[in-house]
Amino acid sequence: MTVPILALEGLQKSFGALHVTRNVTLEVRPGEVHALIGPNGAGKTTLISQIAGALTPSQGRVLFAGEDVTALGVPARARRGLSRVFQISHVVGGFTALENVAMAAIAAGDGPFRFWRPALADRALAARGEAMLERVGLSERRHVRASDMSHGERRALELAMSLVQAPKLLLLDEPMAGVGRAEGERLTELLVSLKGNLPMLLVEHDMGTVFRLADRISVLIYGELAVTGDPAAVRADATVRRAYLGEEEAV
Amino acid sequence: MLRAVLPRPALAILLVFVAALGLCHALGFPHGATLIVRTTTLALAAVSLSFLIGQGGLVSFGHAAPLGVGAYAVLIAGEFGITNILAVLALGAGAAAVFSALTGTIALRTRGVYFIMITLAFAQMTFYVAASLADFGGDDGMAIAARSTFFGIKFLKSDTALALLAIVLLALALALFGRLSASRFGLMLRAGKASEAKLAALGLSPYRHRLIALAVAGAVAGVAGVLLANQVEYVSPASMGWHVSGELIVMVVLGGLGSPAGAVVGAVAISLLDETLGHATEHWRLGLGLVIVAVVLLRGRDLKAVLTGGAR
Repeated sequence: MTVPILALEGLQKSFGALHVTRNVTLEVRPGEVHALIGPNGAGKTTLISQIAGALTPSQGRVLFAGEDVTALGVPARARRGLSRVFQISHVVGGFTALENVAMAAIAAGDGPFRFWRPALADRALAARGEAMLERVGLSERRHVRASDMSHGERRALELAMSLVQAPKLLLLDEPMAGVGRAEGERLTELLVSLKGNLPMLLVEHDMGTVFRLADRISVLIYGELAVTGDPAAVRADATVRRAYLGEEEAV
Repeated sequence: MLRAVLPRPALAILLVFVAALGLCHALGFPHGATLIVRTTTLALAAVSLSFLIGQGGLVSFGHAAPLGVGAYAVLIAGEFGITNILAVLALGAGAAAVFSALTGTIALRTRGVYFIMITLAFAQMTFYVAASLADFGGDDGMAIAARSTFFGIKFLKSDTALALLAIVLLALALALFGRLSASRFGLMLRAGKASEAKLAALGLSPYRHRLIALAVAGAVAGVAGVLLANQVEYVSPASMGWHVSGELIVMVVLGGLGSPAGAVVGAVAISLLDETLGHATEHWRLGLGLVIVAVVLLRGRDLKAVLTGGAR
């Protein structure tokens, strides 16, 4: 069997007597889009934070590409290719789109300590940045400051910043939150186009997006993993229907 | 040729100061050279602080400390018979850089107001250390052995020569900070100003960038201190008092945080106010306070923007 890109082993996070995630064991396989859903307060954000390194689990381990990264912080995990996007925006408002992408590329180990040459005079760096902006449909906007962009454009920019770092896994933390319908549609298409090449762990409330993207879905209820399976199985699962999807959301 | 080395603002500032110096010389106004040395020296320190604040978001309220360290380097080296300008500049810049980096390792653990307070605390500690150096004048300070020389040549005898040196060093510092700001290092430094969490998610911790920025800015302030000591031929703890740090911040804010050249404009404005209003009344700082309030209220349209007509 191939090594999963991400494996959570008995992950538990407690704040005093409150167990926000309990004994969560989950795998993201190479190339798959794995969605994590659950009602509000199910512990999704707490779980994602433990994966990204912002929270230290009380128990259990996080394995990234076979390596135990439980003790590592956010920057160290990011450098290994674990890229969290959307919930915490990477975008620097005062920078242009191109500067933002260049910054991300530099942060990914592309010579942050070069002192003399102007960063954007570096043809290779600028070309990489421009190619990535083209990919997310922002090439026309490359010299626009991020603070002057729409919410949806900023999300696309964030994705470009993440992709330029050549991540091994994308942690998509509610990509559709606060995005309008048309922009959400473009963003979903963008994510669909990445599918297959790049494994993703998707946390999302919008069920349309989840069912369109996910190869497998895990459902978190009260901090515990209730079900993991393909979309059809999850849709049919009685516990999930009761606890989460609800009657009005019958998908 | 010159354009290749110096960016346009640095070149413009160089030419304006040299022209002013030439004018003072032609009009037989020797005090002008003295005034230009002081202004350019303070501008040099202000430019380095402007880099820290504008690029790194590091509001140091103790930037007079590396300035004072540079000044004391001249005094102490002189007592040991070292007066060669190259050696003195290297000692002043080096000592100030080491000072800034060492205090930075602790100060950079804090952010915002706490960073302001801790840099102030370090500067005050340095002030009292200097005041306790009985062999070097204690809290009265002490005259330096002699102005710096160039392998025995007393080329800094006149303030005009010193002014020329200060102007060239200021232009070089502007070029240095311009290059640093545009480089990958500068980009990362500015990114760190925005948010720690963002950078962390991109796999970067800005600590080392900030430490390097502190050391470089400290070194340039040290150079300013070397020039200052040469001009007054006297070094005392007063040169690293908190009000000097405050005045440097005022210059930076007055000139605008957008570019290091703004700090030069701020330094010139403060020097001219000091020179004109300062002779009329010792309470001129009250007027300065009002000017600063006005500038802060006009935030976004700082003095440089007003002068160049640029909107921000």
